[in-house]
Amino acid sequence: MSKCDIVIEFDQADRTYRGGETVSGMVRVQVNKDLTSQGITLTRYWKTHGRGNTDAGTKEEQTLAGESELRAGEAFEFPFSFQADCQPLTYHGHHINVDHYVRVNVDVPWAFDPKAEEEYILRPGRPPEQIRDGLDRLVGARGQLQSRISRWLASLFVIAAAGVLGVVFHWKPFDIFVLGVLPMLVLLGLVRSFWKKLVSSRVGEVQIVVPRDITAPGEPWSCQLRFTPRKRLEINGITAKLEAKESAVSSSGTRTRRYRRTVFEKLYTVRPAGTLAVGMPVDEPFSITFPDTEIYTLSKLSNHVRWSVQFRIDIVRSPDWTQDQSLHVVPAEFLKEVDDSQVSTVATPRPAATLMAPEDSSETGLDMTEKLPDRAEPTADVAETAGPPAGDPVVQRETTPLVSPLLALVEELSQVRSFGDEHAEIIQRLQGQVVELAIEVERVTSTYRSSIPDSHGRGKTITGTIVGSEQSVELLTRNDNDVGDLGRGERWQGFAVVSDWDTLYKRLRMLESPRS
Amino acid sequence: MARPQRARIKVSIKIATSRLSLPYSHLNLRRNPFGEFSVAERVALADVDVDQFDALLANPTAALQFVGEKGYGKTTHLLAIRGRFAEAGYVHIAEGQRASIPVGRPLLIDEAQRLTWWQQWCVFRGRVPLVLGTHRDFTSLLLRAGRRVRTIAVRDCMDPPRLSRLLNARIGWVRRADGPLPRVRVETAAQLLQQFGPDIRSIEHELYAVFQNMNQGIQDV
Repeated sequence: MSKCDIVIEFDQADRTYRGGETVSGMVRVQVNKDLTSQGITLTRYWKTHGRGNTDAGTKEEQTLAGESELRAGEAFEFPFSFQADCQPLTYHGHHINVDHYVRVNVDVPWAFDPKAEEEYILRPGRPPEQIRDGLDRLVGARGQLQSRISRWLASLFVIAAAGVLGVVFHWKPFDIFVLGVLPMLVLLGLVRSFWKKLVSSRVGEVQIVVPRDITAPGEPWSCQLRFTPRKRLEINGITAKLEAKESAVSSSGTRTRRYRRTVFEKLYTVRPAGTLAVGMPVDEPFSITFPDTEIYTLSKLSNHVRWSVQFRIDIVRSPDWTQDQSLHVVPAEFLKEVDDSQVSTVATPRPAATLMAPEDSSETGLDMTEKLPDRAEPTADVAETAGPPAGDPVVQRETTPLVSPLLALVEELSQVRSFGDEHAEIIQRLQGQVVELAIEVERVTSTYRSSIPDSHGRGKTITGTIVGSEQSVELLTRNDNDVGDLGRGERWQGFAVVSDWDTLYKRLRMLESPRS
Repeated sequence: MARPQRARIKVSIKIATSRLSLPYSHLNLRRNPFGEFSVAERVALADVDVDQFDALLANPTAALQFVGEKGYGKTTHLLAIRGRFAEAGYVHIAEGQRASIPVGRPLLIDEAQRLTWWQQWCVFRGRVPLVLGTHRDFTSLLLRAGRRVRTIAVRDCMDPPRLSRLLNARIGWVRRADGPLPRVRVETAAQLLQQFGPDIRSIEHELYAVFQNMNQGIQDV
């Protein structure tokens, strides 16, 4: 019989808590033998288990009882509570598992300490600081050429060929290295270089533009693949393979071993089989709703879960072009919570002004039938602050900030606390309404989205803030409006319709409207 | 010109979602017993008779070497000996790295075949009892350095009952609650020894996959 029986009970029957929530419960200690205790402590921590070395978090201790004499037959109850970590989340994979633990031990001097340990399950809740800080990263990845020659195959080839040469010519080990291995390594280098040049001479420089590398299940994720073939190409297709891989390192014993396993894999066809003409730019948008999964990016010392998209241009009778793009996948709750916490910092906007329905709603492809809600009634005099004439809405001038009716929307958004659905509803109510708009430009890029009206598909994307507020906005200009010479700090002024809301960047997405 | 809408073909090959329940509770375990264990856990689970070396290691010129291939249990022996001597110094020389030699009595060096020539010279001629875990037999070098040498070939230390005991000790170590547990039978241990030899790490690797896929509940293997 042990000196004490220790039972840890959680208030939640399923032991499931969200990040930031209070984990609470009761520790019951039944003393079986008289003993002197130097204290009863509760320790909470997380650690990994599985194939790889154990990674563990900081151990947080709290004292449940101080030094005392414990008598056989006594029973004690100690309530406990603490705030759950935000991450890492509980994960049970194949090579890698992450669990959170509560451990209680009775410190008995000069003897084994009676102890008990129980897990609790941590689900997504409050976002960690790193997520809040890292959202605004933009990723611009240039494609690289990779040959399909595996390093393993190449090594095997070199060893086998050198062995055969050694046997045939009765070479000594030094001769095998100098006359066999070295020349073959040079030869392989030349073949690899030729291989790369072969692919490059066909597809040209391939550019992958990734607006963001952080995403979440259920969130839209998109990127753009651009290249101009230098030769006529027959392709079996352009594919994007989304995959998650576990990678665990085990260092015990003589050799360090790395265990890998693909735990998620999905193949998308970006472009079907066909022919690509010489000199004709290929501009392929790739847009998906990220699959529903509980596998999130994990990066610890010896244990990693990595997400990536591998693009492949499968060229008929030729080496393929491939490129990997890493993704950082976090729970959707993290992004929503981040939005919630950050939108409250948006500056208080000016009073609302007129919102108008566009004349050519068919051109924008949006439903223009919805009316403004009561709280966004038109009040301000728009005529005094009207934008430039229709057809030339780009104005670069030194003026006072425009009192835009859009600020009413910004104010409404800023007052919403629970972010996810409510913001979406507000945006949905206002979708299609024409508003006058002035943007302080941060950057202007070419538009590359697939799900937008044709009238805007070859235009520009202006990113900046709405003048008079700190609200970030992304405006897609019309094809016929050249705003390419707009620089950082300059202003764009015109009319636009609300399209949707970018939850990642807390940003309004708008389409330029042709009317004023 | 409008770009025609292309059908996106989705081919789902493999999707494995995590299971958010208590891990391995269906086996009455807390984790896979054949995953990586910490050094402390390996010491606690070491099933080696190290008392027999006490007298030898009292001699400052003694050298005890455990010789064998990877996975045979050299490190386990060294860790168990370290646990017996409060003043012991232990170092594991990792692959491709150099390590400084600690001070200790006895001095335990794991992966001693990775000692540099100079380190071999200094350590072997030192006057503290030495315990080596090594792939290479250093007998002649140690004798030349004036050492009394005892060599243990770790591959000879394993038999099916002992292997079964070792493996079941791991299972017991990660027990979740009172009640039945999966067990590794002696017959299975014999088969594993036949298949992998005394390479315990490979055996554990094999059993990790077995326990990972043991979805039918508790059963003996």
